[in-house]
Order: sequence, then structure tokens, then C-alpha cells
Amino acid sequence: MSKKDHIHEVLLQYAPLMARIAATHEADQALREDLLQDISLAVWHSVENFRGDSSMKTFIAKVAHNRAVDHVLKETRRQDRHNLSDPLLDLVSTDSHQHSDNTYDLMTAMRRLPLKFRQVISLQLEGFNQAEIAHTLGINEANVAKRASRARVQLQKLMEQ
Amino acid sequence: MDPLLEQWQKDYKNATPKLDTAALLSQITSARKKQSIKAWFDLVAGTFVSLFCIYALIFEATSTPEQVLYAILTPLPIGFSIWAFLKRKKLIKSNILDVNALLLFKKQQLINQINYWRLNLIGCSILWAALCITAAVSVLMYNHSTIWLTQICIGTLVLIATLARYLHLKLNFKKKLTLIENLK
Repeated sequence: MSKKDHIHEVLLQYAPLMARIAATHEADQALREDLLQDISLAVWHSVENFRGDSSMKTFIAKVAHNRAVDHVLKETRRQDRHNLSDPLLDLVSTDSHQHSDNTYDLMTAMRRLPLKFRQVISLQLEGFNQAEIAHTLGINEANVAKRASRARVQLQKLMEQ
Repeated sequence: MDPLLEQWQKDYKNATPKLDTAALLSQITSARKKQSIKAWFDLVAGTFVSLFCIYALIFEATSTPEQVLYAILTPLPIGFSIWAFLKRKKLIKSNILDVNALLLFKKQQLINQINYWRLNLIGCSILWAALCITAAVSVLMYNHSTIWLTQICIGTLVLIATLARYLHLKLNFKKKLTLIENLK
């Protein structure tokens, strides 16, 4: 298998994971698609640097979260330049309709969480363990546990609203 | 895993946006090709301009000041191309940083950016002052006013643009830093 084919296979295999991470960080569809493209491109560039010190899935999640944080920084600055109120909230929650569907509620609530909590809970829901989450975020496991428990409480509160 | 988390996990997986993977693959293949062409174009253009400067230095320059000017100009385009190439590499490498390391990288980038523009402003001010002194001497001694006036006008515009960029960055520096800190 050629290098290009291998990268294509990796991208196809992990596209749903990357799409979910993009959706957790961006509600606007056009911006989300841009973010997904940015993540995919970053994964393509980075796969060559994969040394196998974690699973491929963890590696992809790390790159995806890296790009998502960069996106949040850029979008917050952009919204700030246009003097929009509460840019972080606007950025992460541009959905205008309230659905009764559980999935919609979960995603809406997740986008309202502070970034550090959102990252931990989204990785947890992807099925990563504490060590893998710690590796992705660059924090220690105790910190992951603390953030996860706070994230859970906040998410529950948001979903009950 | 407790039932609530299990339910959330199911909902989260169900929330996967619809994907056209073939289109995505074609888009990023094309984006990557464009990036690659741009990188090569930058490098080739920089090399070409530097080679032209060498040609001008050897075959076109007729006086020592012209030779000195071309000698100074020669390494700049290729140097800029190499700098852009290395910067691109560094940015690609930053994609594999964990979130915490990325935020530290962004913070350092912000500090470097403001230092870069501060140095740029100082350099531009010195060059502008030197240009004004040279112009004054030239106008007073040789009465070559038009060419010097044009150069001072261009230099002043560059200085104003540099000053504006620096002040803009300085004004927003704290806000940007706070934003990075808040994401940690």
C-alpha cells in the first residue's frame, strides 16, 4: 500500500471521529466543514510524524483537538472584532432551535460547556480512558478526573434547563 | 460505565454529522496540492530574485554603491523563502502538540509577534531617520530634492504602517493573552 493510500485509509476510518470533534467545537455548518477540512489536512501532514507512542485513534484525536482549539481562538477573536456579545457562547452555540431530541440536547449542552470541560467529556464519550485523555490534553490524570467530574455535573445541569 | 454516561455516549455517537468522505478526501487532496504548489512557488521565486540580484551585481552595477546595494539585497529574497519554508514546517509540527502545549506555543507566538513588530518599528525608525539625514545633506549640498522627497514619502508611509500594526497588536495583546489563558 502506498503512503497516500495509507493516509486516505486513515482519514476515511477516522472521519466520523474528526467530524464529531468538529461538531463539538462548532455549531455553524459552514464553519464546521472548514474545521473538519483543517483537521483532516493537519492529520494528513502529521501522520508522517506518528511514532506509535499512543494508538492511532488517540493520535488523531490529539491533532483534531489541537486544530479545534486553534479554531476556537480564531473564531473568538473574529467575533470579538465584530463586537458580538459573549463571543465564546455565541461561537459554541449558534443553534437557534431547541429540539426535544436527546442527541440535539446533548450537543447543544456540550457546546455551552467551558472548553476544558468540553474536551474531557467529548473524549470520554469517544471511549478514551483517563491516560489517553491526559495524553491528548497534556494534563495529568488527576486533573482529567477532576475536570471530568465537574464537566458531568455542569452538563447534567445544562441538559435539565 | 454508569447508565447516564452510557446513554450520553450513544447520543454522542448518533450526533455524528453526515459525511461525504469522498468529497472530503478530494477537497483536502486539492488543498494539500495547492499548499505544496505555493510552498514551491515561494522557494523558486525567492531563489530566482536572489539569482537576479547576483546577475545585476556582476553585470549591471556600474558603481560601488550599486554593487553594495545588490550585495545587500541578494540574500534577502532567498532568506525570506527559507524562513517561510521553516515557519511552515514549524506550524505543521505544532499540529501534533497536545492542547496544553499548543496553548503555550500560541502564547509564545503572541509574545514573539509583538517583539518582532517592536524591533521592526525600531529598525524602520532608524532607517527613516538615516534617510532624512541623507536627504537633508543631499538637498542642501546638491539640490536633488525630488527623488529624496519621494523616498521620504515612501519611508514615512512604511513607518506609519509599521507603527499602526505595532500599536494595534499592543492594544490587543492583553485581550489575546487572557483568551489563551482562559482556554487552559
